This record gives sequence, C-alpha cells and structure tokens, in this order.
Amino acid sequence: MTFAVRAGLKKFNIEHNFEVKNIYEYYAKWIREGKLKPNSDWNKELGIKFTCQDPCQIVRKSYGDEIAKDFRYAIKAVVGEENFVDMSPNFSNNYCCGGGGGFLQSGFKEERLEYGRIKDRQIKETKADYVIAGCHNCHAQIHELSKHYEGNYPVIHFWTILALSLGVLGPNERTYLGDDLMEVNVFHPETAM
Amino acid sequence: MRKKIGTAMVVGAGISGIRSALDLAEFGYSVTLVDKAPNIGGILSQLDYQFPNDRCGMCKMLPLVNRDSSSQYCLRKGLFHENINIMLGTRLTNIEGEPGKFKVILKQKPSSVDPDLCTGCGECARVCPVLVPDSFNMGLSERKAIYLPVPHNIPNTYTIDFSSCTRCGECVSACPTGAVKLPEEKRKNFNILVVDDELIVRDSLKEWLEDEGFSVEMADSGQTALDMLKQNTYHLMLTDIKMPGMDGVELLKEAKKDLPELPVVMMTAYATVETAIEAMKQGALDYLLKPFDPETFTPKVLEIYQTLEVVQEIELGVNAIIVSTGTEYFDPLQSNNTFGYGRYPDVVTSREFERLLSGTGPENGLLQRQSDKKPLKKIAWFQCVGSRDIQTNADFCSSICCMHAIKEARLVKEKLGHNIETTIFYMDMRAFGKSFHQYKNQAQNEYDVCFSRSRVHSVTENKELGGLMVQYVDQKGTRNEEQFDMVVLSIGQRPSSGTKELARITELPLNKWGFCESEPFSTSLSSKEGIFFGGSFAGLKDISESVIGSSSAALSASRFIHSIGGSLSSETDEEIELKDVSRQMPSVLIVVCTCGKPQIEGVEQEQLKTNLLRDPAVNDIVFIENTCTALGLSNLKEVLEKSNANRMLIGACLPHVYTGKVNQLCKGTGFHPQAVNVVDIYSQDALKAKDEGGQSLESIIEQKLKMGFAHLKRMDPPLAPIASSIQKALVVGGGIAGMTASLAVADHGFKVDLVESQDQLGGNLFWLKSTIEGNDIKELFEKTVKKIENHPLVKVHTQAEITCSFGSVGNFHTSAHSKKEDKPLSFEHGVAILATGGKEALTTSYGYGTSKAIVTQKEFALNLDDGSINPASLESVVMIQCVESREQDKKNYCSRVCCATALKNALLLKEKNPQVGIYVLYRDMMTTGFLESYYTRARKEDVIFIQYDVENKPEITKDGETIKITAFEPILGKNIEISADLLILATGLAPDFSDAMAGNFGVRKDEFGFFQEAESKWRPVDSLKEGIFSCGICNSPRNITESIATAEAAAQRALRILGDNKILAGSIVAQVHPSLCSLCERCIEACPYDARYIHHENTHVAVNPIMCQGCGSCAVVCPNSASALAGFIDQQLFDVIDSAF
Repeated sequence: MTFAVRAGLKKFNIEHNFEVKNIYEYYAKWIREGKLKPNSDWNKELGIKFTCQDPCQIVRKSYGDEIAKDFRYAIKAVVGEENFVDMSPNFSNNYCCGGGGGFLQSGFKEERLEYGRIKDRQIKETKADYVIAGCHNCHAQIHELSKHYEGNYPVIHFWTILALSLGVLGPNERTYLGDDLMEVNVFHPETAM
Repeated sequence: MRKKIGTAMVVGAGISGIRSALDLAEFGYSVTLVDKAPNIGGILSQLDYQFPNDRCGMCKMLPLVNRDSSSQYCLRKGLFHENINIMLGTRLTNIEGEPGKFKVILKQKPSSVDPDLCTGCGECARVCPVLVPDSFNMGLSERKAIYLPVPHNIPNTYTIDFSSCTRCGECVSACPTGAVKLPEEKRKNFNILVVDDELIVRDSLKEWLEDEGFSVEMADSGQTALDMLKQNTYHLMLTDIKMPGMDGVELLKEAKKDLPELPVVMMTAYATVETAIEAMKQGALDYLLKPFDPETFTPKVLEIYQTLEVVQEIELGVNAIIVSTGTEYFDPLQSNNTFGYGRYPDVVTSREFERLLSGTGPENGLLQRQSDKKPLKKIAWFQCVGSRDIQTNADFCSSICCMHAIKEARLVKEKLGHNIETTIFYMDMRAFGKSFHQYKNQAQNEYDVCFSRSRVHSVTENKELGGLMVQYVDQKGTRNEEQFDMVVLSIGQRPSSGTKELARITELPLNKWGFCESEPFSTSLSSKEGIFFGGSFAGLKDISESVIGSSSAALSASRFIHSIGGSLSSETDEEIELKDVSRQMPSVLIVVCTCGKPQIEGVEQEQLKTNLLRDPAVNDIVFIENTCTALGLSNLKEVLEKSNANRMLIGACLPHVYTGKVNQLCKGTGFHPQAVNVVDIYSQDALKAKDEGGQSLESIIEQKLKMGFAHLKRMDPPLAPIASSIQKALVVGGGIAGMTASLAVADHGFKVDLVESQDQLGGNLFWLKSTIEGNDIKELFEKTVKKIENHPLVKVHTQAEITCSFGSVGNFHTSAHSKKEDKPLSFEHGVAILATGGKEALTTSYGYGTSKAIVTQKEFALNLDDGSINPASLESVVMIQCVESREQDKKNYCSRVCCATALKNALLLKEKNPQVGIYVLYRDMMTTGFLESYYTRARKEDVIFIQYDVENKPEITKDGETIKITAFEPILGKNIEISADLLILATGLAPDFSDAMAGNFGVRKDEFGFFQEAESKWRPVDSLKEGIFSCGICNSPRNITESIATAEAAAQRALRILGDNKILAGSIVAQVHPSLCSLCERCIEACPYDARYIHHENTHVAVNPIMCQGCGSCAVVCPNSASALAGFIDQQLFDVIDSAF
C-alpha cells in the first residue's frame, strides 16, 4: 500500500474496514516478540557502520517519530547497536532525500541533485559505510547521489540486510551490496534447519 | 450604591471575564467571577507589554464614574469591586435549572494556606526544600512547592502545589501567622483500593500511596475486589485491566452496579489504551499508563485526589452565565516540530519569549542566548506555528500572532538596542485591526524589523558559531540558510483545555476545531438561552476584540436578565452615612502593626510612642498584632469604636492589602475611608536602609509614620460629588450598528432617540445580501428595522442632521434639524452613541470609470443581483485587492472586509459557473480567524491567488471589451498577462464621520477620519469624553457581526451611566480656588478628560467633578496653586516631604 492510499483515505474521508500500517512497525514488533530472530553477530568483527534515511512519507508525514524509533530498533537488531550511526537532523526533522514529491520522475535532474546535496552531506558527516533507505524512492535518489557526489557508499533496502542477517539472502539479491558484504553468508540456526 | 437587580456568573477571569464582570457590576448586577486558576488575569498576567504603546494600561478599564466602588488599583494585580465576588481555584461542574433561574454547582479547591492569615511574607517559600519548574515563567525558572502563582498579584496568598509537595511540614512551622495547614488527616481518611494480579505492582503502589499519607488496601483479583467493596467504604479504586478471571473492565461494570458513585481509575499498558478509553465511556474516571514510576504516578493520583476529595462544592443561583474561559496555545511538541522546539534551547515559543523579555521573568529581562548565555545579535520569528496548518488541524488563523511578533521585535530593539537584527518569517502579515498597519509600518521603517515572506523549512544547530541555522525558501524559490541566535515560534491559539467539559455541561456544540461558535451575527449569543460567550472563547480574538466581545456578552446577559425581571435580586445593605470630619480639628489615631520582621520590642515601642505623641494632633498610638488578619481587624475595630479620633493612620507592611479591608471597616463605623492612610513601615527599603545606613529600625518606622501622619493631618476627606443624570440615550446613525445599539439600550427600559440622515434606516444593509458563511443579511435587516419600528421606547428621526451638542456625561443637550419636517429637533440625553457608519471608498485607479467591465466589489454585488452580470457568460475574472489602501497617503489602513468579500464573490461565481477562471491579486490575505477556511476552500476550487507588492502593482490595458492585466507572479518570477471579462476592485471602507460631527460631540478623529477611541485596547468604543461612545464602521472598519459587537459594547458602556438617575464622582477630584485662578487656561489644555471649562461668569476655571478622574495633571501645570487635587493639596505634600528628612 502506498502513502497515496493512506492520504487519500484520510483526505476524502473514505469509509474503510482496515487499518493502514507500515511494515517497520511489524518488523520491530516481531523482533520484540521473538517471531523474527535476526542476529547481528555477523557484523561484530566486520564493524560495518550503517546509517538510515527517514522517508518523508513514512515518518514525517504519516507515523511520526514512533515509526522512526521502530525502524531504528529493527536496524540495530540486524546490524548491531554499536554499528548504527544516526544522521543529523533525524526522525521527523530529517530532510527529504531530494527525490520526493514526484521529483524523481519529473525531469529537472540538475535541480534534484542540487537538492540532494544536503542529504549527501548529512550521510557523509556520519562517516557510515552503508545507507539504509526506508523507501524505494529514497533508495533510487540516494543511490544516484552516492555516485554523483562520489561518496560511493552503498545504499540498500532494509529487507536486504534483514535477509542477510537471517541467512536467507539469495545470490541474485545482492545487487546493491558493496564488496565487503557481497560474499557474507550468515549461518542462522533456524534457517539452516 | 445601586440596588442589585440580578445576578450573573462569569466563568473565566482573564481580561474578557474581568471586562464582562466590571460592565455588569457597574450597571448594578451582582457578579460572581470564577476561575480555575489561583489568580485572575489569565494569559495577560504573564504579558507585560501590549501594543500599540508597548505598555500595559489594563487599569484604564476601571470604572470612570462612581470610581470609589472599585479600588483604583493596578488591575493586573487585583480587582476589587463591591459588586464582584471573585472565586479562584474554582471550576464550574454543573448547571441545573432553566434559563434565568440557573443553579450552578461550583467546586472550589480550598487552599491549604488561609488567605485571611497569609501576609505574603514568603517565609514558607524560603524554607521549602522542593524546586519545580515555574509555570508563570513558562518553566524557564524554578519555584518552590509553596509559591505565589502570580508574583505581582494582590492580595497575594501563597498556594501549595500538592503534586510536588513532599509534605515535610517546614512551611507549617515557618509561617509566622499559622496560615499554612497541611491536610494530613484528610488523606488518612481517604481509602484507596488497588486491584492488580501482580504482587510487585500492588506492593509498590501501596508503598507510594502510603508515603503520600493515604490509606491503601489491596486485592489480587476482580472478585476479591468486589467482595471488599461490599464490606468497606473506598473513596477511589485503581484497577488493572488485564487480569485473569474477571478483568478490569468487567470489575468496573460490576462495581458500578452497586456503587455508581465510586471513582475508578484504570491502569493499563500502552497496548491496551483503547480498552482504557472504552472503559472511560463506561464510567471510569481516568486511566494511568504503565509502566509506573513514582515521579509520574504519584502526581497523577494526587491530581485525581484533589478533584475528588479536597474540593468543596458550592451551589449558586444565577440569572445568566457568561463563559469567557479564553483560549490556550499550541504546543509545538504536538506537531512534527521541524523547528526543534524542546531540542534546541534557543528555540522558544512566543509566550516563553514574553517571559524572557519581562523584568519579572526568569532572567530579569536581560535577554541572552539560552544555550550558552552569550549576548544575542539576531532573532527570528516564525509565524503560523500551529495556525493556518491543516496538518495540525488548524485551518484557521489565530489572529493575534502577527501583531504579537511585531510587538516583540520592536520591544527587543527598544530594550536591547537597535543593532539587534530581527526578522519575521511569515506568509501573510495580518495587520488588520485599527492602527495595526501603522504599527507594522513603523516596525519596518523606524525599527528596521525585517519582514521575510518565506517558508521556513527547518532549524538545525550551528555547531561552530553557536545558535541556530535556519533553512528557508523565499518567494522566488531560492533556498537560503541563515544563522540566528534565537528563534521565536509564534504559536497559535487552541480551545482552552476546559472547553470540552464546558461544552458538555452547557450542552453546547463544538465546531470541528473544538471551539464553541456563537450564533450568526453575534459574537456573544450561544444557542442556549441565558448562556453567553465572552472574549476569545468562541473565536480567535486579540485584546481589543475580546474587550468588545465581552462587553457585548455583558450586554446580552444584562438584556436577558432584564427581560426576565431579574428575579434573584438581593438587596444591599443600608447605606451608612460617612461622618463629615472636614471642619474638625485633626485628631489622628496611629495604629502600628507589630508582626513585621524584625519586630520592635517594648522599649522601642515606648520610645516611638513618646516621640509621636509630641504632636498634639496625635490622638493615641496603639500596637496591634497581625493587623491585616481577621482577628487583627476586629481588634482594630474595637479600638476605633472606643476612640474619639477623626482620622486614622495604619503603619503596616503591604498597604494595598488594606484597600478592601479599610472600606469594610469604614462601612461598619461610618469612618471616612479617605480619612484613613496606610503606610508601609516594613518595606524592603526600610530594612535595606537599616543595613546600609545604620539607622535604627524604630527611627525608620518613626519617619515613615510621620510622613503618613503629615499627609493625614491636613486631609479634609471630601464627600464624592453627585450629579443628576438624564436616563435617555441619543444614537446617531441608523445603520446596523446604530439600530443594534438603540435596541440594546431601549430593551433595558430607557428611552432612545435615533437620528438618521437618510430617509430610511439600514445603511449598508440595503445592498448586502448574505455573508460568506451564508447568513441571510436581508432577513437581519428586515427583522431589525421591524423591531426598531415597533419598539415603544425608540423614537426614530430620519432625514435629520445634528447641528450642535453640548454638555457632559449625564447631561447632554443636542439639537438637530429635520429636513423632512423642516424644523429643529432638540434632545436631552445622558449619553450619546455615534454610529455614523462608512461607505465603500471611491477610486480612480486601475481604469475605474473607463469601462463597464471594471467595477468595485459593491457594484459587482449589485450587478449580480440585478442580473446585469451573468456569471455563466464570464470566462475570466480578476480581482485586485487593496486598491488605494494601505499606502502612504492613501487610506493607510486595512479595511478588513475586502478579502472576505473577494472570497465570498469568488466562491459565489465558482458555484454558478465552475469553469470561470478567477485570479485574485492580493498583498496580504486578511482572512483572520475561521475565515481562513474559506481561503483554503477557494484555493481548492482553483481560484488563483497572486501576491503583489505595492512597489510593483498590476497594470491595466484595454483591448476593446477585454481588459488585460499584467502582474508580476512572484513564484514564476516573471510578469504574466491575464485577459479578463471583468475586473473587480476592492476599494476598501471610508468612514462617514464629519469634522462637524466630531466637533459637536467634543470627540476626536484619528488620522484616517475614524472616531478616535479613548484607548485602542482597553476602551475601544469609548471616547476620552465620558458619555460619548461609538460603534460600527465610524469607529473602525469591520463586518456586520463585528459592528454589532461594537454596538452592543457601546450600549453596555452607555448603560453603566443610564442605570441611575444620579452620577457619583470619585472622592479624589480636582478643585479650583477661584480667587487664585488667573484664567491662564493651562489646566484646560492639560486635562486629558476634558473635565475643565471656564466658569460661565468668566471668573475662573471650573471642574466637572464627574468627568475628572483625579489624575492631578492640572495641579502640576497650575502656576498659582489654584488647582489642587482633593486629598493631595500642596500643604499636605510639603509636610510629607518635610517630615521625610
């Protein structure tokens, strides 16, 4: 379900018998309840640092700081508490990646990359190795920023690293990983069973 | 004093409540003024400065006639009127009965500090070990658990904040008068039942509650709890929701069957909040969120305990109720808070900033960077935080923040120097009220306040330089980043927290933003008879609009009470005649209060007595302990009754505490209140002088007493002059304002002459059809005219022009010429209300007059009405706002109605022809208050709004029938050309208030030709000349509803005077010694109240005691000492000065 559906239901007061939730809330819930058991041991020795982008549509414009907290909780469970570096400002105060509001599809590439300069600066300031983008749109934009401003940090989706930590990441699902993680295969007792 | 003929209750004692209460009290009603806070004054108690003069000035609301009925004292500190009973710490909990015979139930928190005993010495706070954030300073400083809610209040009784009090008892033993009592026993008798299946939770709750002094019992299941409830009495049950067997909600249901009154509080984990809220619908009082910690749990339970147990229930019968509980402010933490409020110490709200600027604030007004206490160089204001913001459910404009921000920016420049850079980031600068636009222009041109029309994106910390970085996008779309030392968030208004509860009690509906809305064409009528809205409770108003609105509410309430006959009348005591002692030799009784610290002992007392008794005018000197307490006063009364003294001097600590007490004492004894003087003998400077100067305490006391004595010795207590008053009103102008004012006065049983220059009543109502809200103006017009015509007490004189008027309050004589009958008319009246109205202004700009397709807003309305404009045939319509308005030398004020009219017309056109293109060229959209939602709607319906600046106005060219408008589009950054079939010009309003009219009634005009009010905030419908009032458009540009409000306010102001056939002046008035007067007339120039005139025999200047307000300006300018102020004559003051050295 997209942000547009959620916003549309609210804006036009459409009666509906379901709730619109975000997956990050559930990742965090399942991890807390022990239904999902990611392990961050794989990163203990590697010490690869991660930062994350707070997507506007999920955080600032929808669920607020609560979902951003859940998102970080899930990330930390996957990469290890000590390997997460937050960017500043963050949570609801984080900046747009620069590709939002249809910008990514609308042309005006130069302007879009110019707006993205802020995001790139924020990421570089964290000195993190990886960026976890919480939304597909952000992913595409930040991925491009990484190349354009030559930060060359890999930008991944959350599920990639989750799957990696659970030992279920397939070989053809590693497109966005950097060389350091390309060959990492986690042994997970429950997956192995 | 007047007989009371009815009772009213005013809920909320902010500025609006005070205005309503004073208005009703002055008319003679008995008023109960209730506030849940421990102080009066509301938000204004925290605001030191108000524009346009950047001072306070609240005292200007005090009575001007019969001044002695209220103490003439700083109104911000306290209100003392004989007809007003103030109940603080009190909530309205229920209304029973029917309109006119309401029975209201009030709950008052009894204070643990006895107000009769507390002297405000502050010993208790000194010893109190608890420090908590001080809400008076918006949490920017700290206070003790026993504290003064408002440091400057009078009388100022300490209050205990039980949610932070540790009940250590230090204050009890420190109090020198025994005023503090902790409610230990009461808590022991308060039984709490804790129900939880987890032992650890039960045990810790029991421990915490017992620490607080409560009696606690526990149950481990729902069933056990039910059994226990049957056996014992409990005052409160706390129950968990999730329990095996019977769960909390079930327990609640079962318990409520037998004990419907039992207060139950649900305890719940975050996950089951919804269940808890569900439980509240079934009768639970509240819920508490787990996990608990004593810091949050205990205060919550104490709060519940306070509301349940400690409160005292009071039942009152009242005829009418005015609700003026005001508004609260938006909390930025409740939004996305992209400005980092709460995270960065340099981001503050406008209310916090107000405290930081205040001399009584946390930093004594020395504004500095909050993060590192370094000096400030640049401050930014962000407008519309929590206003005009759909994301925070605020599709309304808070109406006050623009002026608030401008005022703060100007104050900063004045207080900290003009080199401080101030920038206001805004969307539209809504300087819409009377004189607002000038104030804004001054800020821009004289104070160099920078106004930046832009959108702030976010605020981040500036790690290198300190302070903050502000990211914003200007109108061109350029992204900017700028460093500021401080950011002030101009937070918007919200309904006050008690509004929902009040709506429930009064059964009044709330609008979608949680405000109660008043009835069409009124700011004060609710949908329920007998209940009225004052001030900002029913909308978003600034001070002057609140003052107008609350006078209007007082009028509505008063009219209602009058219509039902004021059944709950209570007679006042027989008036006691004051002894006239002016011709007697002075014999002064000196009373010295001995509770001061340090005290004066026996030997020093004897010495003092000997020294003072040397003056034969001293009758006796007595020492009384705790004079200001009830016991002390009764001792004093006893002494006074035995004494044959004719004047009395009291030496004590806080003289203002005595104002009411002395009056009461005098009432009982016939002693003249002006023959009593209270001097401060224990003040801080007395003690300081002792420390520094080495002077002994008794010599300081002696000196102070001698000064007070010197003043009193030559005091000839004057008896307040009385003048007769004609109980008739003259209303000039028969538009909606004049008609409303006439009816309002006549409905109280007073005769009204209504003079109108045209041949028919109605004014602008003739051509107006409906309001933007869709209310029927035609119906209002017909109904009002009919009421006027059928009213036996209103006499209408059409086609009549005022020719001259003279006289003073209570006694005016006015002549007019009737064109209809070609004969002179003459009126005798006690008051006059001027409502001469105004018109749509004329223009020659934008090609007006050269084409039929260029019309004014009024012409558009008329053409649409008669069918000469067919909306279906229109393709493109352009509206230009602010035509010859808000410009140097061209109506340099906002006409206030044009933006709403443009929106009304745009929406009307869109409704009739959705295809029509509408372009509104505006400077600032002035859609204040709830009007904002129409602006939002118009944009949604594709009306295009294009902002222009006065330096770059749109240009018009004609091409046959079509008109081409060229305007600069700031977002595109280029000129655009619009072809229009119709161009509608908003030319604004111009007053219809001639120099002759102003001259006749002795009132002034402001620089734009409107009526000059006495004071823009506190007396918006009065003139400086008492007895003359104005309303409607000749007062200031306004729409129909706002005009009606001013008319009702003016009527209410007039009724204070009409209510009696005599007018009582204040005791302190100026006098003239005819033999000394040289007729230089300097005093006539100096008198701000026009109270002086040349005596008809041309021998000396005389004073009209009714108009004189006792300011003393005349005595200062008089070269011969011919002018003097009663009670403050030269000899007295020289004596005082002499005895000071």
